[in-house]
Amino acid sequence: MASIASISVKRAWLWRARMFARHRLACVGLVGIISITLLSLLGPIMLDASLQRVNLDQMFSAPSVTYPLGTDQLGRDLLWRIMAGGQTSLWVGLVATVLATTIGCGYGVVSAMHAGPTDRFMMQLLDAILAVPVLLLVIVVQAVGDSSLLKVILTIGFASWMGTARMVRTECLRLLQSTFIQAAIVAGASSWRIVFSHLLPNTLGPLTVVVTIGIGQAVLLEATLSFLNLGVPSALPSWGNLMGNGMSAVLGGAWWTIVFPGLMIVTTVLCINLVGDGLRDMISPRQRDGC
Amino acid sequence: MGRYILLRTVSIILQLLVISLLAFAIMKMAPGDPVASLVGGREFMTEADFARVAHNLGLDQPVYAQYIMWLEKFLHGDWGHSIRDGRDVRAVIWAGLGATLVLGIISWVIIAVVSVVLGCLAGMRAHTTTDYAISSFALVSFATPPFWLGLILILVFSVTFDLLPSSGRVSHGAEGDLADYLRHLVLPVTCIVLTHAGPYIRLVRGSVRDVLGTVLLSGCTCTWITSAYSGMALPPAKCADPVCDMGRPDFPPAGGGAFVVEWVFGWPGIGRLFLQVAMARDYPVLMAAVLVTGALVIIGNLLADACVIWLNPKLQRFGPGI
Repeated sequence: MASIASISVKRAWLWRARMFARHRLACVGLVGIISITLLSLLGPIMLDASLQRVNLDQMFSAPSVTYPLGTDQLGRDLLWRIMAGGQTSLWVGLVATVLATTIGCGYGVVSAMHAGPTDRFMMQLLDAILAVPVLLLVIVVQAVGDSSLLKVILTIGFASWMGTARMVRTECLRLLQSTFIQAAIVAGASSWRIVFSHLLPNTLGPLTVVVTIGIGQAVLLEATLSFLNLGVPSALPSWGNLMGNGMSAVLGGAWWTIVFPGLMIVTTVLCINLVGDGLRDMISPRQRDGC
Repeated sequence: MGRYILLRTVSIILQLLVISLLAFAIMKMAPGDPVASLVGGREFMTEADFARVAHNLGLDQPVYAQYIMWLEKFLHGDWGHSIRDGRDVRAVIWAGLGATLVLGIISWVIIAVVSVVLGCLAGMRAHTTTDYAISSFALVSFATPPFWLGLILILVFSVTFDLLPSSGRVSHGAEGDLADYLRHLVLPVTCIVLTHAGPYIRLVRGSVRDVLGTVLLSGCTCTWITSAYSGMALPPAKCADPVCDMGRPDFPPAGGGAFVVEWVFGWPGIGRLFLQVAMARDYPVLMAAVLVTGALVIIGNLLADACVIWLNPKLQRFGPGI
């Protein structure tokens, strides 16, 4: 029996992978993300490390053979900084989203499992929290005290779990009505068992979509914060930081300090969203309407 | 409907309370000493001076008393003075509010029109070049940080071609000149529209695709209702619902990326003010800015609900689900 079950599970995943592969744009997105990640990880190792040193002779040099993307305000190679910055930006996006997803799942499940006043109160609270724009919340928290990488990750994570919570709650409420969970309840399964072996595994599909899109949004949020000098410490390069440093130079004509880091952000978020679209179509083929 | 309005009122009061508590809690937990930052450093004052200033500012009271005191004053219209420069907070906020609303409402109207028109076009001509072009634009728009596009616009239109002003609301010496005011609006509005329209276009397109597949439209075709009507009037009416619903969280675009757009373009609105005071740890102005922005979002939610009810007669009896 076990072997048959495992074969059918394998089949299901194969089928899903094939659905994903049929979504050409999603594949492009996936390849894009993998290349950007590899570039960020390997680039700083492969390039000449001396290019990243402060070189005041080369302040704001235009793109050239030595500096393919030009240099920043301290004469450091922008290509090197962009690749190193990618590590920071992607890392922040990933970890913050994992954190937000954990909080969101917990909140959503608890809310769904306690129908009645608790659920109503938790949803009202969620609405009230949603009434505060995320950016506003994040900026206030970041504006005070020292900035560190950990603080940025925590702030973004704690400010962006609300959507996930709502999605998880809706999904759980729907699942709680389904026959197999009703059967489990009648059979005497404990709440823990229902949550961990029935509810959460079955929300995994929609969750992957929300998580994927969430990573993109977290990358954008980090870029905005760092751009305003309220994000990761300025010693650490990140795509937002690079643009924040370049903002004053734009009026002087140093366009490369803004254009290239921004293009990296747009490309990354675009690829992530394409993968998210592909995943959504894979999970609910009914909505498939590739665009 | 009466019960719905009652419930709605309760929830609004709750939301306002949470926002005010949140604003207050964040301020209180924040490190950094307003008294020291007022004087320029603790080392410049004696212990007695310090206590006197702290007392004058009410900072020696327990936290809950400070909150109640602040809320009471706030409700009575006394929003205090900026710790930084002593300006009246209410005047500062009101000055910014006008600028933000002008920018916000103009952008919002354009976003609504653009997304409905482009979304319908893409939905009705699905899988054609038109659709691919519009859908690609929507995808890129969703992935573009507003501040980056703002800088690019400045780079192209102000620095390179010198066509439009890069910052501010009016040119020096041209106060009251409407044409000049509009010229200053072009770039920020373009920036907000281009970066915010994406999700709505996709939503409208999806709704139109759904509607086109339903019996409703086949019925229309059967009854000789012109295709112009079924194409132009029905889909927008049908998709207004989800669009209103989705528009809630960022109704005043000041809540979203428009903050940073104001900052980039030096637009003297609440968003820019907010960023300035956040960096300067100017608690009274910051708290008022948080509350006012929160209130704007709540008003936006109400308007969105009103639109949904108005558009969907089924809901007029019971109100949308709470």
